[in-house]
Amino acid sequence: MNINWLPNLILLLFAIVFAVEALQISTDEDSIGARMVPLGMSVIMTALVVIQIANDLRARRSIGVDIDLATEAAGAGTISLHGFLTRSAPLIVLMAVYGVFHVWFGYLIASVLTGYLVFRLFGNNLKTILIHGTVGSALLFVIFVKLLNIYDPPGSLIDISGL
Amino acid sequence: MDILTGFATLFSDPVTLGFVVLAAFTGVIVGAIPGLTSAAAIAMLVPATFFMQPLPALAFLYVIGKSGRFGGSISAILFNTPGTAAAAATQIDGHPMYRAGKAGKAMKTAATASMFGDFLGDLLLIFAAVWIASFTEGLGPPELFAVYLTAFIVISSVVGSSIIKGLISTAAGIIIATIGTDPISATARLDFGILNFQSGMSLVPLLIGMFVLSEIALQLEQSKGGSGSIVLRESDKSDNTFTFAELRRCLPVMMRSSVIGAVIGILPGLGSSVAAFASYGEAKRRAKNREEWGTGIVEGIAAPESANNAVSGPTMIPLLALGVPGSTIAAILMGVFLIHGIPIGPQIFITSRELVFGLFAAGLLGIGIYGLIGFFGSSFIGRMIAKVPTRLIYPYIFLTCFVSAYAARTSVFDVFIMCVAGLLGYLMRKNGYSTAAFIIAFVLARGAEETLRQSLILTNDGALIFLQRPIALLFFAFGALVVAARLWQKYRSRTRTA
Repeated sequence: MNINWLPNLILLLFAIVFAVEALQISTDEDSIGARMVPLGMSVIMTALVVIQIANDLRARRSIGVDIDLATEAAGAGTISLHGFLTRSAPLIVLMAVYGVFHVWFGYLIASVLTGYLVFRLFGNNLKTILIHGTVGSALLFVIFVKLLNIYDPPGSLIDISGL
Repeated sequence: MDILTGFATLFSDPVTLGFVVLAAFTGVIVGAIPGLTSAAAIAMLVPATFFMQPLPALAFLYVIGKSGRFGGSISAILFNTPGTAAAAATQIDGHPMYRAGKAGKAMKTAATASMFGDFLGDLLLIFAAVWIASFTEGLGPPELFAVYLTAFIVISSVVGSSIIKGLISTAAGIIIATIGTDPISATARLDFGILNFQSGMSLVPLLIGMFVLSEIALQLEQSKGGSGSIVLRESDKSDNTFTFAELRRCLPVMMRSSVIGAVIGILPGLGSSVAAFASYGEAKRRAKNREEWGTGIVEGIAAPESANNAVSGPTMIPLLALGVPGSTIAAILMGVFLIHGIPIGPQIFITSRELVFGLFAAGLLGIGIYGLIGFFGSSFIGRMIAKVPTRLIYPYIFLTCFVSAYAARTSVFDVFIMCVAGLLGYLMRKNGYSTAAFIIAFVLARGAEETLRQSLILTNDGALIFLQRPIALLFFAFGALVVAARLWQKYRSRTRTA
C-alpha cells in the first residue's frame, strides 16, 4: 500500500496551521507589518498545495496514468506504508529517543544505548552491535566532548559527567 | 593581484593549510560513499567550524564541497552507483571502463578533468565576482528584493520535478524562516507559545534533518540485508595510465564542458548534475565516434567531470556579488559567514577582502590536493569504501547527526527540530519536492523580507515601486524568462510523449 498522498496532506496542514497562527501576530494597522510575509506565504502555500492535490487527483483519474510512476520518473519514489512504518519512521523516532536519553543519562550512555538500537535497525549481528555500539560511541564521546569540548550536561537520572 | 595576497594569507596560517588538506581528503571520501552528498557532509560538519576562525572554517567547508564533487566519480566508476547526483553521467562511460579492467585510467581521467574544470570555474569566480560586485554595490532595497524574488522563482522552477512543487518547497522554507522575532518591529511571531521558537529556527538542525537524516532513512529503506560490502575486480595494470595523447584528445572536450559547467553554475539552482548531463550530451553530439560513447571512453568521463566541477566556483558568484546563494552548499556557506559575523553581499569585497581572497586561494589549493589524491589514491579509497558495508557507515553518521544538531546551540530542542525536518525531508524527497529549494529559501527569507518592507516603506506607491526601477524590472524579466522556458520544456516533453 502506498501513501504518496501523505506529503501533500502534511504540507496542506502545515500551511493551514501557520496561516491560522499568522493571524495571531499582533501588528500595526498598516499592512507592512510583522504579519505580512508569514500570512501571505501561508495563504499562497495553501493555494499551491490545493492545486497540487487537484493535479494529482486529475492525473490519477482522467489520464489513467499512475501518478506514482510519473513521480518515480521525476526522480522520486513511491512511499510504501510498510517501508515507512518499519524502517524510516522508527529511525526518526530513534533520533528523538536519543534526545530524551541524552537528557536522562548524558551523552555517553545515551550514545551507547542509541548505538545498540541503530546498529540493530541496520541489521547488524549481535557482536557488531555490541562492539560498534560501545567502542564507536565511546570514540565519538572522546572526540566531541573531550577534544571539541562540546557541552555535555549531567543526566537528570544518571550523572556521569565527572568521567 | 589580490589572489596572491590570498595565497600569502593562506600560507602564513598553518592551521588553515591543515584544514584545506583535511578537507580535500574528507571530501573525496565522503563523495565516494554512495548516497552521502558533500552538502550532507558539510551540514554535519558546520558545528565543528563554530570553534574555528572564519578563514579555516570557510576554507574547510568550501574545499569539502569541491573535492566531494570529484569523489562522487569514484563510486560511479567502481560501484556503478554515483556517490553524488552529479557523478551519474560519469557512470555511463566510467563503469564500462572499470569492467574492461581500466579503473585506474578512468579515475585518472576523472581527476584530471575535475581539476581542469574546477580551476577554470575558480578563475571565473575570482575575476567575475569582483567585477559583478562593483555593479551590485549600489543596489537599493527594491532592486535587492527583485534579486531575492527572482532567485526564489528561478530556484523553484528548476530544482524540482514540477514548478508547483518547487514553489511549495520555497514557500515552506520562507514560512519556517519567519518563526521567531520580526527583524524590523521585534514582534514575536509564529512561536505557538513555545519559548524555544522565540529565538527563531537554526539552520543547522534543519540542514541535517533535511539532507542527512532523510538520506539515512532512504538508505535504510533500500538496504536489503546481506554483507553490504562490494567485491572489486582487478585492474589491467598495463593500461592504467591516462596518456598524454588521451589528454590532448580530451582537452577540447574539457574546455567546452568547463564553459558549460561554469555558465550553469552562475545560474541559481541548476547545479552540477544538470551541468554534467548537458556537457555529456553536447560532447557526444559533437563527437565523430558517437557509437563508442557509453562503451567506456575517456572523453565520456572528461566531459561530465570537468563540467560538474566547473560549477563549484561560479555558484559562489551570486552569493558573493548579490548575497544570493545559487546552490545548497553556497547556502550553507552563507550561514557560516553569518555565524562568524561576516555580512554577505557585494560589500564583502571591501569589508572582508583578505578573507574572501584567502578563501579563493584555499579553493585553488584544494583543487591541487584533491587532484593529487584522485590521481594517485582513488583506487585505494575506492577499495577501502568497498570493504566497509553501508550498514556500518550509516549508523555512525546517524550518531554524528545528533551531536551536530545539538552542538549548534547546545539544545536538545534542536535535535527534535532535526527529527521533524528529517521526517519532512524524507516525505518531500519521496514525493518530488525539493529540499534544496526549502533550505535556500530559508536562508534567503530574512533578507527578502527586510528589503521588501524597506522598499514599501520608501514609497507611497506600494508595490508599484518595483515597476519604477529598471534594474528590478530586468531581474523580474529574467525570472519570467526562466519560468517560461521551463513551462515550454514541460509542454514539449508532454506533447512528445503524447
